[in-house]
Amino acid sequence: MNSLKDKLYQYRLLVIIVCICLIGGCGYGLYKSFNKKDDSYVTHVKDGDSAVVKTGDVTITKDDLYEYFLDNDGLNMTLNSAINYVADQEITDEDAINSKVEELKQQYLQYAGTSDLETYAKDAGYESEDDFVKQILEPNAKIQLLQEKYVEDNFKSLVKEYKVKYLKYFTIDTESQALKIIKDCTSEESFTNYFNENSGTDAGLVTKESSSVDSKIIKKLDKFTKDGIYAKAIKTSESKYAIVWVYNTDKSNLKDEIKKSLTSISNFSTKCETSYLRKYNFDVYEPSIKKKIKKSSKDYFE
Amino acid sequence: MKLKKCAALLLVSSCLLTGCTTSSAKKVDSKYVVASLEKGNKTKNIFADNLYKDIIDNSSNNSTVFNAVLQNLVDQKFPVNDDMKEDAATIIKQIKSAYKSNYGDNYKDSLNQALTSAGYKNLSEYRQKMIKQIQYANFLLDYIDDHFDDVFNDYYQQCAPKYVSLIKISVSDTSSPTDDETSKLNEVKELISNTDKSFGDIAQDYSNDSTSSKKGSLGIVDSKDTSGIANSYGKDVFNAIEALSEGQVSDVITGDNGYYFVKVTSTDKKTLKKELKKTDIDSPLLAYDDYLQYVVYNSYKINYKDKDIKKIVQEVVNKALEERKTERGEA
Repeated sequence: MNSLKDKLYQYRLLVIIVCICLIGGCGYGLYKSFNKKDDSYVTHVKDGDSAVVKTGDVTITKDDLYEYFLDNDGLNMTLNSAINYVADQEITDEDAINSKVEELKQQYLQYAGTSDLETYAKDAGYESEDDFVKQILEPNAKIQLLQEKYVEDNFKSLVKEYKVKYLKYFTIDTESQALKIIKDCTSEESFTNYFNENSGTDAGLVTKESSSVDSKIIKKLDKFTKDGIYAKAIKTSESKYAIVWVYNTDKSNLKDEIKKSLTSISNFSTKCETSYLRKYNFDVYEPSIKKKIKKSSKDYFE
Repeated sequence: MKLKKCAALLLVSSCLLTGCTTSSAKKVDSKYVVASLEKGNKTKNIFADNLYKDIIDNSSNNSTVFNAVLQNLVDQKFPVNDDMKEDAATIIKQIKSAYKSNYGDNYKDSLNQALTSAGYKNLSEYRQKMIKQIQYANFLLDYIDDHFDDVFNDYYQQCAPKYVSLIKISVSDTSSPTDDETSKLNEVKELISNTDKSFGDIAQDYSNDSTSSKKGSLGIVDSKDTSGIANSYGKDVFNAIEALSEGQVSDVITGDNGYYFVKVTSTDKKTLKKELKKTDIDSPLLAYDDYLQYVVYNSYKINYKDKDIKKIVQEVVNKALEERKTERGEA
């Protein structure tokens, strides 16, 4: 009996020791988590515990820097990395890339008011012009080409979704007068006469996102289905009556202009990114970054 | 039975341990995956190492790398403590009470609007930012305390600090003051120019500024405007102070919401030094030098264990210190 008791006692001691070790380990984990920032991360870099900087009793590790980077801009770091990969896969025409890089170069130079890209690049913190081209212009060129490809591939549906129309219009003070003019406008020539008399506006390409045209006219974009005068006078937000002439309803020859216009819409890049990231089954395994990405747009994920 | 209890304890401990580890982390080839893309049978993993390397390799991110090192240094040397939280709470309380006195019971809307336009989601986020700023101030103050003579002399030389007093005559519309406003202005002019009544006493009796209880004293004003005079009273008031020497009083100045007179009461170096010796979070010594963080960082004996980080951080610090020299005409 004594030997069995001894065995049990020994066994119990072993279990207790194991438990202490386990709880100890867990305790260290908890200690670390309490000492971390609010959003602690589950991912780490290789050799994350290794010191990069030491001074006195301070030790800064690779993971400390990594976590600072994630805190600071983890959402964009992750999204940019993903979309740049997609662009690398989808955009492979070297001539098109080079031509777009050249176009961007000219834009930067014009913006900076200089012809010296080397100095511009160095002032912006890059080692050289080549470094700037490689790190900024090439990825940007590919992203722009990716957006153009997206429009090309989805032209019809995007034109429909964004309600792309071409129109010119003028306004009149009273509805009765406006309706008489509409009746009188039997040709483009007669519309043009009234248009000139009333200092009309040729709005050109308009989408549902256009802010330069009265919102009440924008609301009617769906109704502008054929070239010519729109049969109704539209009451504007300034309580005047707009007479609208629709043109270019056949958009087959206007792809380049429409492409340029759509890609410059403010939320278009997110729409394009969303579509490609879903196509590539984008997923994120760092929960705090995933939460931030979902908060910025829940559509990024299936 | 006892054994069963021990086994249960072991099980609970194991569960606890599992809960403590990073259970949702994904690893491929022992590297942490932050995100992945997949098309057909092709998979692209974005590793934590990729994101880290992207930052380190892109020279336009050099200042981000420096800031990461600096923030970690500050976090470890001056961890957030209750005093910092209390200081932040006091500041928030002061802001709330200032808004309440300006906007009444519906002050919260105005305060939230101000926070939003400054880029904060709410007061709590602002409080966190404030705590961080106090923490950062502690990092600078520690250096200032240890190198007070050097910092003060530099400040005195660079910013020509002076003690200033101010009288404000509130006017609802400076382009057409009322008779009462004009007569008050004329009376103050007369008292300053043609009587022996001191500037401080006139301020105490006539000024509509909150400084009237302190005989109009604004405290220390310097050429960097670390006390925010231009913001509070208008650029012309600040320019007038800049143009005055010790003992001089300005002519009437049209500023924000009123007319002003300012006087430089002293530029005595010893008095200034004595006052600034008691450094706190409002000290102009914290704000006068845009490059102070680099000077302070450089005062630490840093032992770099990573050559990339060393190169980047040293480049940032050296560049900033060069700029500082150039700005001071010392290069």
